[in-house]
Formats: sequence, C-alpha cells, structure tokens
Amino acid sequence: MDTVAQHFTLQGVSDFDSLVRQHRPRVFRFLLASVRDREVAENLTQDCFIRAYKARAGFRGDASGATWLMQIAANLARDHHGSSRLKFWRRTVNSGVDVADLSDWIPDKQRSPEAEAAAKEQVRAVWSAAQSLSERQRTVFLLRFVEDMELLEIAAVTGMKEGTVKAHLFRALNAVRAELSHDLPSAQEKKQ
Amino acid sequence: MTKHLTSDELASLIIEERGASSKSRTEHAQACASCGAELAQLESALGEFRGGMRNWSGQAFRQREFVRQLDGGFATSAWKAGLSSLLINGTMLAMIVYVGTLKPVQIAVQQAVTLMAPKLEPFKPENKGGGGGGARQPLEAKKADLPKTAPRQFTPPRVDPVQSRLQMEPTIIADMPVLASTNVGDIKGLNFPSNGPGNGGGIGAGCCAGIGPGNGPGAGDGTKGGIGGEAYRPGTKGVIGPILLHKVEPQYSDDARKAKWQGTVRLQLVVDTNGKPTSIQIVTPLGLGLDTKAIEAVEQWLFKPGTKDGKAVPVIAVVDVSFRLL
Repeated sequence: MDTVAQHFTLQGVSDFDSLVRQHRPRVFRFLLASVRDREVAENLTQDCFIRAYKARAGFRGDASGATWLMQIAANLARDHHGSSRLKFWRRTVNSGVDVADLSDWIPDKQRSPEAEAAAKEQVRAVWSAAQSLSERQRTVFLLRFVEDMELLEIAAVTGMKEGTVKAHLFRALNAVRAELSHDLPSAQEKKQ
Repeated sequence: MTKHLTSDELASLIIEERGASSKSRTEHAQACASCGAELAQLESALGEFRGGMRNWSGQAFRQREFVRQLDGGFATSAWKAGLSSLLINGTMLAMIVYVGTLKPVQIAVQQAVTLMAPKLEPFKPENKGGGGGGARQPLEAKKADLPKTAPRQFTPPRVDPVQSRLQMEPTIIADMPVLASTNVGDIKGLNFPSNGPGNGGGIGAGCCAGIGPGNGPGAGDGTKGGIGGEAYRPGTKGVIGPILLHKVEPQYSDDARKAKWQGTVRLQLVVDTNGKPTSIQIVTPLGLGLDTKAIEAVEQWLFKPGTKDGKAVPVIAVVDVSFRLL
C-alpha cells in the first residue's frame, strides 16, 4: 500500500492529488456512515484532506496513508458529533431520510422480492443498531464491518488498545443481534 | 455436545479471524444448527449492510464527482481556464463566420429563405362590404331601414334597450340620397329592442359597429365600410355577369312629367345569388323623383345570377334606366 511518506518525499501537489483521488471514496464512505448526512459528509471529507495537506510535514510515515487519513476522519467525525449535539432536530430529520436511502442501496443481486425485503429489513436493523451505539463504538463498528479494517489498524486509527477495540465490537455486535432478533421473531424463538 | 454459544462467543467468531478463534467454538458453530443459523444470519446482515453502505456512498460520491468535474475541470489555474474559454469561444465564432462566407452556404441560405419584397405603394382602402355589430344580446335585431350614410363614423348605430318613451326624430322635407333597403337593421325598432348577438357595438350578428351579419362599420354581410356583402365585378377572371330575365318599366313621377324632364338614371347594384338586385346605389342621378322611381322599378327586376367557376355568386352590375317622354 502506498504510504503518505512516499507521496510526500516528492513534496508535489500532484502527488497529493493522487492521494486524494485514491482515498477520497473511502474517507467519504466512512464519514457518510458516521454522520449519516451527505452534505456534512462531503464537507468533512473536504476538511479531512485540508487537514492532511496542512499536516503533511508532520507525518512520520510509521503508518499507512490510509490509516493516517482514517485517523483524521475519525477525529473529524468525533468533533462533529460533539458539536452537533445541540442540532438534535436537524439530525433526526436527516437521518430519518438516510435510513430509507441506505436500505434502497442493498447489493443488486438477482433475487426474489421476499429475499430483497428480508435483506432490506436486515440492513435497516443493522443501521438502527449502529445509530443506537455510542460514537466510539460506532466508529469501531464501521471501520471493522464497512471498511474491513484489521483490529490492529482500527486500534491505530482510534488510538485505543486492541482489547478495547474488541470490547467495543462485542457490544456493537450484541446491539445488532438484539435488533435483528427484535425485528425477526423467528430468531428470538430459536434462542429460547 | 457443549451448550450453545454465548453472544460474546458468537461475536468473537465474527470479529476474529477464523483460525484465531478457539477451535471448540468453531466446531460448535459448525455442528449446532441453532448457533450456525444465528451466526449465518448475523454475517449476512452485516454483509448486506456493508454492500448497501458501499453502493450508497459510491453513488453519492459519483454524483458529487460528476458535479465537481463539471465545474472543476479547469480549477487548477484561472489563467488556463480563461485562455481555454477564449480559445473555444473564439474558434466557434471564427467557424461560424467562415462558414457564412462560403459561396455554397450563401446560395443554400438564399434558396432556403424566401425573401419577400415589401409593398411600397400607398394603402388604398377598398370600400366594399360592411355590416356587423351587436351588443351580445340574445334577441335577433329587428330588420328595417338603414341609418344615414357618412364618410366617417363617429357613433355606431345602436338601440337603447331601456326606452322610457317613444322618440320621434325631427325631420325636414327635402330630396335626399335614397338608399336601398337591404332589410338588415332597424334602429327604430320598438318591440324587444336589441342590438343583436354580435359584439363591438352596432346592430346585428357581426362585429365592429356596423349593421348586419358582416364585420366592420358598414351595413350588410361584407367587411369594412360600405353596404352589402362582398360582390364580384364582372370582368374578373372566371366571373360571368348576370343576365336580365324580367324587366319592369319605371313609372314617371308627376313632377318630371310636368317639367317634361327626361334622361337616364345610372344605378349600381349587386345581383345576389338568387338573382335579386340588392344594394342599389345611384351613380348618376336625374332628380325630380325619377331616381326613386328607377329604383322602385329595378327592385322588381329579376336576373339570372352571375357565376364564378360555375357557382352562383353576388356580382356587381350597372344598369341605365332611361326616362323618355313620347
């Protein structure tokens, strides 16, 4: 994987351009899932690269560029979460729209309407479980299950210990399981 | 078989790499249908979520990128952007001008566009036809005599629907130009005063301040000023003039007989499609009441109507009525 150090040894703007091109979709995806608002996610993605550009001299090269950018993105998402507590109503409205958005975007496989409805229901359950998590848990959850990052990478991004990351993931998965069994009674029966 | 996995154990199966998880748990998940189903459900839900999230964000990102490319193609340098804009626009303008100078293009344009020379001769109003009027009243207008003629119209003829008393126009006794009764309007109508169903003032079913079913400030069923419908002039291409079938000799007036007055009255009239003379006008008067007598006689004449292309049409005719004392 390209490291930011490799990009920055040349100190050229065009190299930073290629870094942006390479990582932009991923950063945007993570931020979109974190803040659940397209406009805000776009702005934060922009902010993320601005911060990275300003701080490129301070980058030591001991992590991959992707991890470094994700670190900035996770910080931004946290800051946004902290500052937007007062904007409760606005967020409620927007996230309500986003849930519908997300369940419309399930992977397009050839399947029966029932299977599609079930898949939509699953996505909805996971999404609402993710919303019920704390900000840190959600970040960890998204990094693991949307971005497919390793536990150690997540630890590097969030600045937690690996054990802490694991604990957060356990809690997140329990929430998802609870939400799924809540929505799908068959699972609950099976459990008893 | 050991008892079912706890939720933490299930979670660790998902979180940790398969190999890293304890062997007993993995085996249990494979063996136990309930735990296996739960694991599968959880994994499929997470998989759907991952896929959905990726599709969604990919779509949103592509839309954004598209907009960014649209307005940011030359965002790296304002100078470059300005120059390329100038180049593109300049090239297009130059091409348009160049294409316009080519001979074949000019010829093609001339063939495609019909040029029409403007009419430069002064406007000559045609004084024929006439009629129209009405005030959107439901009743048809009563039919009787025409009002007097004038070169310019200031007040269109109309009846006042609210008449509180009979009105009598003051008159003097004198000769006056006599108009044929075209039987289309009566401004003195007493019962059911109505201006007719037309619009624009006047009386009748037409429009625009005249009398009768036509348009314009005249009388009759033509347009513009004047009296009568549009009639053809003999000599016009395809028009065959009317032929006299039945003639009534005029009577002498008393005044003319006493004065031994003789001569010819020339009348212009329109022979309608039924062969009846209408819109009789005096061209050359004779006086002493002979004009009226001439008109009275001519009114009883009968023609074979004029035709245009085999179809009966109103045609203008000029007749001379001679008065001779034997």
